[in-house]
Amino acid sequence: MNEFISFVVAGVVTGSIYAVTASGLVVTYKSTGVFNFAHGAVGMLMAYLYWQFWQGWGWNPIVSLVVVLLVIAPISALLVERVLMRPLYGSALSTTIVVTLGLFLVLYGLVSTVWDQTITRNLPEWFQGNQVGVFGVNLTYEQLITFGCAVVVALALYLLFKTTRMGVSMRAVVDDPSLASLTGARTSRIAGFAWIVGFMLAGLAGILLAPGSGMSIAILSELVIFGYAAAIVGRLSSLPLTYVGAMILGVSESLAVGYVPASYLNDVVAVLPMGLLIIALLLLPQGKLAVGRVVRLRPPRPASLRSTVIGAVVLVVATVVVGTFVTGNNLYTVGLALTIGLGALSLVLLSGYGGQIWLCQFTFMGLGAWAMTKVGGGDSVLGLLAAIGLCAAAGGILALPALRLRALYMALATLAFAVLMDQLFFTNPSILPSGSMDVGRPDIFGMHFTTDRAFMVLVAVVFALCLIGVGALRRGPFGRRLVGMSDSEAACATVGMNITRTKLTVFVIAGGMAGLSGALYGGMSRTVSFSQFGFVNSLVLFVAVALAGITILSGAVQAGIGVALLPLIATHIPSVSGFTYILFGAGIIAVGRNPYGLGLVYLRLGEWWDARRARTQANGGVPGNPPREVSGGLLPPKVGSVG
Amino acid sequence: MLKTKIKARFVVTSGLALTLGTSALALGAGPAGAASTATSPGVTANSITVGSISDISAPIAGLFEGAKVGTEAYFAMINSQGGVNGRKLVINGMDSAFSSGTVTNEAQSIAGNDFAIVGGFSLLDGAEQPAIDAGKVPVVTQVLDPKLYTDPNLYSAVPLVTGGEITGPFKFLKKKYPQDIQHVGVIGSNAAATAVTAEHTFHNLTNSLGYKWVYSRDAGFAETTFLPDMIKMKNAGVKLLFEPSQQGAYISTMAQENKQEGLNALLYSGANTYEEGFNPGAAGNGTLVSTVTALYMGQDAKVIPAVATFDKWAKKVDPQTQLDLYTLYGWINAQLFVQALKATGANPTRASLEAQLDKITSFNASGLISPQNPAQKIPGQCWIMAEYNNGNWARVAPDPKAGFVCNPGGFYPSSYKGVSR
Repeated sequence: MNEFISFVVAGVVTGSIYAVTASGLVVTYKSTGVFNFAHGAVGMLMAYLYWQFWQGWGWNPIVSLVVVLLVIAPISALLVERVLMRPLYGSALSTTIVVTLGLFLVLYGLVSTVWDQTITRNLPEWFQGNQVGVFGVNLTYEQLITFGCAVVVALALYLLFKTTRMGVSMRAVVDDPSLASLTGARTSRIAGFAWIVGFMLAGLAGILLAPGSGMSIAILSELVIFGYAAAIVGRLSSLPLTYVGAMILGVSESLAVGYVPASYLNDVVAVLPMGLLIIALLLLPQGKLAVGRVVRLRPPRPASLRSTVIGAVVLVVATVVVGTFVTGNNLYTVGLALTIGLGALSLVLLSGYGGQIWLCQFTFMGLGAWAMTKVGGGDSVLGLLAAIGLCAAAGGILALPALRLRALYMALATLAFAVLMDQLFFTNPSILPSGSMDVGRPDIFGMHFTTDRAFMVLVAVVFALCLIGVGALRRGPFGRRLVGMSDSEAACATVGMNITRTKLTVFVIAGGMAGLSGALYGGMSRTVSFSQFGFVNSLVLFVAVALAGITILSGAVQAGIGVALLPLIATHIPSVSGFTYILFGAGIIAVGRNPYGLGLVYLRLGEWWDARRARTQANGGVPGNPPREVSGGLLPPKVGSVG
Repeated sequence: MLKTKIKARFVVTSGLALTLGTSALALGAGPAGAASTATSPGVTANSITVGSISDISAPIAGLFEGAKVGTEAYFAMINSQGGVNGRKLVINGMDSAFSSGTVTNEAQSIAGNDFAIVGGFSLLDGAEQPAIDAGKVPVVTQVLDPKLYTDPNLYSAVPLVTGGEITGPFKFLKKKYPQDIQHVGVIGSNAAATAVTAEHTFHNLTNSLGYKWVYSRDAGFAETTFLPDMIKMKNAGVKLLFEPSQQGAYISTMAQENKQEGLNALLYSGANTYEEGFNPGAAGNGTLVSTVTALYMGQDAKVIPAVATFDKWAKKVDPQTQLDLYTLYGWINAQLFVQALKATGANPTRASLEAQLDKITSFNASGLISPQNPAQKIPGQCWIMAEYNNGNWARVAPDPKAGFVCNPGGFYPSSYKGVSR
């Protein structure tokens, strides 16, 4: 019994960190509706600032703590809320995800640039060597402080929401923002306050974690993912349940170490955080069918068959032309861009048309590459078919929770799947003994694709055919069903549309397409490492597609090019490697705030061109007369439409 | 309507025809992709250019930049002495961008333009293999991918063997702590398949020596506390805590919690712990590390002149550099390369370089490492034991002041005899 209590106490310490992390996420989400994917990155930045003040500049640690948590965190929160987040309230989920991921990249780049990551930094403990026994476990003062922080934060948030005017207003805003506004609640002020609390809690979690993490930016920025499980247990709204979730997670990890047989221990501990997240998601009550929202932007028209085919041919011809001028690594980069673009195309279908947020595209690509190596000798068409089949089946399985979950929860479920695959599949020595795999290139109709140039053209042809296919899907009945489902599931259900079948179908198609892109990605690379399929790459790809235009076919092409080219900047100019993250993130924030990304820019250009042509025709071929009723800048609100 | 459909069909048909046609043209135009047939690319009258590939910009900025710095530092020192046989050494340092395909292409580029691959360190080094085998490019570096260990073109200053490890330190611990080795706890890493595989090797090796593992777990990359492990190990009576593959910051936490929970096991760790990131304070006192390198962060500078030289030139090339194992790897492999290059004479070729490398059956990098056999890929069996106390590392008995301990020695599996050239 004593041993059991010891494990529980040890688990509570871990759970306390999860609780502080998750509570910040929940406070922000429940008050603003924005799930902050940059929460961990905020904690990382605050931890580094704390290190700078205390260790770098020799300030008193308490003063440093006060400055970081009570001055810098609130100011930066207000800045972020005012500049970035305020325009997002009520926006599409994909938009809020993209902007917060953009903020993540900006903060990651900022910390990488300011604090040279080749230098070792340590954040010492405040009370080194001091400890106290609690139920048979010796806890350091820092661990007690962590637990104390979790308790104080819980009490403070309870009092905030129950007894203060601000807290009651926050709850009112959550329940009904427009009604709260009518009763005099200042929603913008409330949202600003929520972001301040969120940033302070993120900073607190970062500072508490920093000594044990070796100031690793990877750990500090990504650890928050393990807090997602706790936040979901609390359904992103209940702080008490969030704390329960955090403690369940921390204690179960500890008890697993204590009682799971050695032969299963590694797998069980690895699975727990994401496993709990998935279980929590599955146990959530069925989400209401999403209804439409008022939008101010008219979505881009689907590309016509003619323009799609022309675009596809241009893509292949451009590939051939580029392929004759570039060699070596540049040639490979072009080929890689095409394979990634194909993966991005599956996101256009799934997320752009179907409204289903998927954050595990590279995981599917990795599965596809693996299947390619395992079937038909590793370099055959059979392998390609296996890649498509395996990933289509996996997509179908992943669709099952999508049938009942709201979009954000579905996004988190796919992220959990990606993290699980990182930990259980791609790093498993029985699957990838050396951590890498050689991927072959198939012979098709007797044609060999042994040179990079030939294989690149093959990829371009496959990509072009897929572009034409997806374009045709979009224009056809299935595409209309997808867009309708994305606009309003409730409306679609009302008119008798089978939403289950539509979701299942699009997941299977997108999965198969991602698997195909993975097999070709592997063939282009010839050797791939497990690390190339990490969940972070999936996040980057999603962001890139959203930036380029997730609802347009060309968005996939541009996203592929962007993701393939981005690392080259850091490679050729190492001194600006951090800046590339900052610039990329800033671009995402700037453009990604509209749901069509760069696609909107093209839309506007097209409208400007149409308007100009209309003017010219109306004046007998003489340009220059003022327009009649054609919109120039912003399109008029399309009230009643949904998207 | 019909006209539209016909037009659409025409567009599609002609488009596909154009697509396939241009593709066929492109396929026909593709080069054979064979490596350069030049006998000594990278060699001019005044210089010899070699390539190196390291993970620099990603996944973490500057991750293995030290490997490049170490190679550059050694070349800078040699160039300051007039180069090799009248030629300056030039390094074409490349960044893997953490992409296997990039590594493949960079290796192809080196195969076509440079003399050899020297130094560098990449998690994706397995992707170099097709190009180096096709071009018979001499590779003088440390590698991580086990499939490269046996590559005939590879020469590592410290050879590695799949499923193999030196046994001397374990025999020493067995003799010194005969009771403790019956109660071993291990916290490894699940961050990579190679780390898990290495742990299996340690398991087999120690089992063969009579060690008994009573607890083992592979920790994830983001774990920041090991309290439950310490409780479990305390209850299981662990006396020797072995950590084979984690980085210094992790092991600092383990060291602290080892003392905190009153486990007080002897903490014995891999060479990764000997780095600036290991900073557990007094809780880490008594931590042991066995290594086949000298204490290159400065502790051995007075007794091994090469340590001071290494330190001086590394700082000269990059004043901000923090000396780590990868910097040392870059330096010692550059030294191995230069030793062979000098012996090739005035007209070095890849074949003559490999012929000279084949003759180097004993190499100790002027005392920076224990004697190794890079030619036959036989790891040296000599080692030292270092102990951490109050922020400092020092050799501990039975280590000689400057050399390496060769008795007890041995290699697991004992059947391994290296490769014949």
